[in-house]
Amino acid sequence: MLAVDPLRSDRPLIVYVDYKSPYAYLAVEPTHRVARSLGVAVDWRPLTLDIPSYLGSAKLDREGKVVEAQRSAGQWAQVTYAYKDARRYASLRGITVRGTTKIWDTRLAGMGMLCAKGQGDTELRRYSTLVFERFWKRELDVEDPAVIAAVLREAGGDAAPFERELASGGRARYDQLQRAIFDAGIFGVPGYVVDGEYYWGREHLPRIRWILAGRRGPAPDVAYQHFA
Amino acid sequence: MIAVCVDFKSPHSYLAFEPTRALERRLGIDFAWWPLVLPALPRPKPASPGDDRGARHRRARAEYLARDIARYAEARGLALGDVHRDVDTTLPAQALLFLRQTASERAGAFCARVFELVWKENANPADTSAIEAALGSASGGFRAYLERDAARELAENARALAEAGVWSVPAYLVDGDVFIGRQHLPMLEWLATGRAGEPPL
Repeated sequence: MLAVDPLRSDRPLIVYVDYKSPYAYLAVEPTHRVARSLGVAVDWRPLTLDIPSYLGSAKLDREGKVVEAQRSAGQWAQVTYAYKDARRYASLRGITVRGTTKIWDTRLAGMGMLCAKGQGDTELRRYSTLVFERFWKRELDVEDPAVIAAVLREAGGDAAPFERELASGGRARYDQLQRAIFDAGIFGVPGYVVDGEYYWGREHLPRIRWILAGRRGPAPDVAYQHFA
Repeated sequence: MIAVCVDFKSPHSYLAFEPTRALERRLGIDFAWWPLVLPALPRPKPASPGDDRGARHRRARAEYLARDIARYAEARGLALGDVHRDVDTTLPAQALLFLRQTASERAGAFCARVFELVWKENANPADTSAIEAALGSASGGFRAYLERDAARELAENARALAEAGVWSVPAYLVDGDVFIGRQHLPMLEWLATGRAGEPPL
């Protein structure tokens, strides 16, 4: 597993994502657009959210009825709003964001991401696209190592490093990496690190673009906006 | 109609105010300004050896939010001071409800003055004379409203907003849809101008 400084990279922009976050999913395309327009390489990294620790937890049946919950009314309001908000932006782009029935453990998918990343930007982009799309259509069991290995192969990569990592204590190393990221103050996705500063949410892309482009002119405000 | 919900002690509401007024001007319409009194922005709790992941997450988030508010305020030349200030904004919230019934066209200007009182002058928004001054010539009948209807109407307003799905500020309501945060302003503009061009991402 990679030993990395959570706030530093040899690329000018670090982006943290978790496949179970619809906001991370929505951020991928505009982030690619900003990076492409500036000719900037992105260092994509996994950040596996521990959602119950700050938003409570719940399980729903297939009809969307709550069968188990440890959430306050305020936490429910936030979660309900977040899904609705993500869906309306997703629908404008033809992206499917189905409701989930439980909080998924996406650590294996994160390990798969690191494996794909080790094989190249093309493999990583294909892998992430497949995982995000299928997970949010509820077509992917991200807790099944065989499923992750299959996606890696489908993305044009080699699944063997992932399987070797799993078989040699890779989960513990991945958890250690996640603790280091969290200890650095990076707690939410999509998370951007530029010039050593952390930004949470794709609404910061206008400012991130401004920083990467040399901070010319007035700094823009937060906004969900269109990027060509 | 676009409705905007604000709490005068919320730094996020304050940072959203001018961009929201600018959108009002661009669209040439008056937004409906509504008050919502919420708890102050949580102050990060000091670290303690027994902190669990949730406590550490809340602290990291609270510290981040303060930094984030500061960097965007700085970009606009605003010195906010203590972003966690816990002043009582009940009175200006009641005044805004009163104004909505008596002179709603002045609601935006009233909000501007109260935000200035709280964030530039560090004034006490619970000071009746300061709020009456902000109401200006529309203050007639305000004291009677305070004694008669204000508390009940503010509570009813909060219930109605909660039922509509408003849990934070600034919140924007458009055709029953709730948008939390000023990052949605491009979406509001896109919706209000007939969905012309590419939508915000």
